[in-house]
Amino acid sequence: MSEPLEIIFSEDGNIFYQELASRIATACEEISYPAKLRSAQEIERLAKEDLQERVAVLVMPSECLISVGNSREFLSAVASAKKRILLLAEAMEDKWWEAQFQLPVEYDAFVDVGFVSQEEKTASLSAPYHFLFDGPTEPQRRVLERGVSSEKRSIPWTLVGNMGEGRAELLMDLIEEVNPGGFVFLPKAHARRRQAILEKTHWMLSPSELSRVLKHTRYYVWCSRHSFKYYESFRFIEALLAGAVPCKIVGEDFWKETDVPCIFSSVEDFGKRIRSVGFDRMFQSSRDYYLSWGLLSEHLRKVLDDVL
Amino acid sequence: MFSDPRLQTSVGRIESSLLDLGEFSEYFRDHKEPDGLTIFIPNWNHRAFLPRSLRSAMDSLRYLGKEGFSGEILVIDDASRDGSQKFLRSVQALYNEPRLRTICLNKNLGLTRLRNLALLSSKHRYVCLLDADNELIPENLPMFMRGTIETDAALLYGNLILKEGREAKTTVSDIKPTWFLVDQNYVDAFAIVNAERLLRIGGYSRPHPYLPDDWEMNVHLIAEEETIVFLPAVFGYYHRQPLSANTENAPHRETSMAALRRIYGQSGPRGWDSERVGRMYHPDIGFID
Repeated sequence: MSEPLEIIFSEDGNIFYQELASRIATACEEISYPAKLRSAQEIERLAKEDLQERVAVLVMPSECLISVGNSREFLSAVASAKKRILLLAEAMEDKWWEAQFQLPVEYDAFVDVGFVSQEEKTASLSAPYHFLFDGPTEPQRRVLERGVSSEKRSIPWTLVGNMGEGRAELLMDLIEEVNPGGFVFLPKAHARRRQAILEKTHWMLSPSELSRVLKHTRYYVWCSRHSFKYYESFRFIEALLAGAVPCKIVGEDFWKETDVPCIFSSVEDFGKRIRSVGFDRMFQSSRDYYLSWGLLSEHLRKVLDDVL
Repeated sequence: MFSDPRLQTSVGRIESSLLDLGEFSEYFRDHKEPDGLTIFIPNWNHRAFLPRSLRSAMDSLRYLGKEGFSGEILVIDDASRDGSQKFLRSVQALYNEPRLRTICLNKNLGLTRLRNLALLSSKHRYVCLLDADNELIPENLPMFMRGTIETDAALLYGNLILKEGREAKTTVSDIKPTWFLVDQNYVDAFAIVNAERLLRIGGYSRPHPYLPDDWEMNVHLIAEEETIVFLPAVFGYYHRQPLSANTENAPHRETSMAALRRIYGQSGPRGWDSERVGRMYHPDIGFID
């Protein structure tokens, strides 16, 4: 019998992780795997015995802790689960990955969600590593199989995220070398962020707000806020579902070995490509790549077979 | 000099006469054209930077014209001693541009009064406040004009790329209009304002020597429940100079905050302390939040 999952996330944390938790729950449903989506606050209120026969899948647990009132109750509930799986989508060298290990939680497995496995970086991990390809859910696949139109996409490019290293330079290059009229939202993740989470101040774009922006956008551009080898699959998916082309700008050459489309070594290269190839063909190559990998649920089934 | 709080209060009350600019009434425009933009450049000893800001303003007029907006450039020199006035007279003579107005003062008014003089003297209802060391992105200005008109904003701001030399360091004026605007001076004066609306609520004021008048205005607009809009595109370049005024004010944030609370927060937190105080808008999308 399948061990039922409790997919635990923070309702007040990073919207991307809320989306990821929800997509994992949808994927479980697609393969008829028993799973419940639970906010961290719900878990805090559960009796210990409620989790004893279940597997806790913790999605970005450090944010869960910020959003719960009583961290001891939360951690105690998590500790009572039959197994604990850490589910993340971050570069393993990054502070967000590290932050999860500051918590007093013993994990039975690590699941890394993305497009490119980080297996080569896992030597120091205390539990088995599993890579989960971040494929589309069934409803997402249906959306992608419909065509998109470049008409009415009046915003040439969109750059959204936290202001971090390299992003101001990227912005200036986009203005000077591509088109000055892009959509730009790069607030700083400043010291008041924790307070903003607690007071539920919506200082970032919600998923529906971002989707509205991307439906008017041709190219959704980003660069990592770090120089580690990592591809932000959630950005790719956000772009594609809204009909925009996902374009990552990187300064390094280690991406040459991957088959993820629309990765550029500079804004200049990006500018050349959009002028020579154009929106329609770039969108098509991204969509074909993504659909060729199959559904998230198929990949999840394999990972669950290995982990449980 | 301002360590004595009673002296601060006195200074604040003297500053309350900031709209008393009757001696300049010859420049005032009572009837403002409703669908054009005055690009206002205040100048005080920024001779070296004027060519850059003026060039971006002139290019902006061209782009505004392409989309059917009228415009003018208003430069008010605040009794500079670095050759700025001679330069401005040369530019006026050289370009013979009727949409460029220069006013050279022979006594120094200070930036706050200068801004109020511009609001009173602008030909157009909408005024873009472009400090002499900053630079507009001309192609984007029509989009910001459309945003201002479509939202009926009293203040509309967009991202500014902060540059040091040739290097882009970060952005400013880059956040959604939430209570953060009360908490810190996140939105620079380099934005578009509705001159009539700002004058109706008393114009710019500087009730404390270390309290920047743009921050005070933002909080004032929030308190008066005027419309503040963030348009998420790049409005211009904010060139940080080693001796710029914002660098001087930065260490005195707590003092500034205390002065703001004295005016706007005596009864404790208000509704806008916990949530948004304006909207996010893009002309191609509509209201986003």
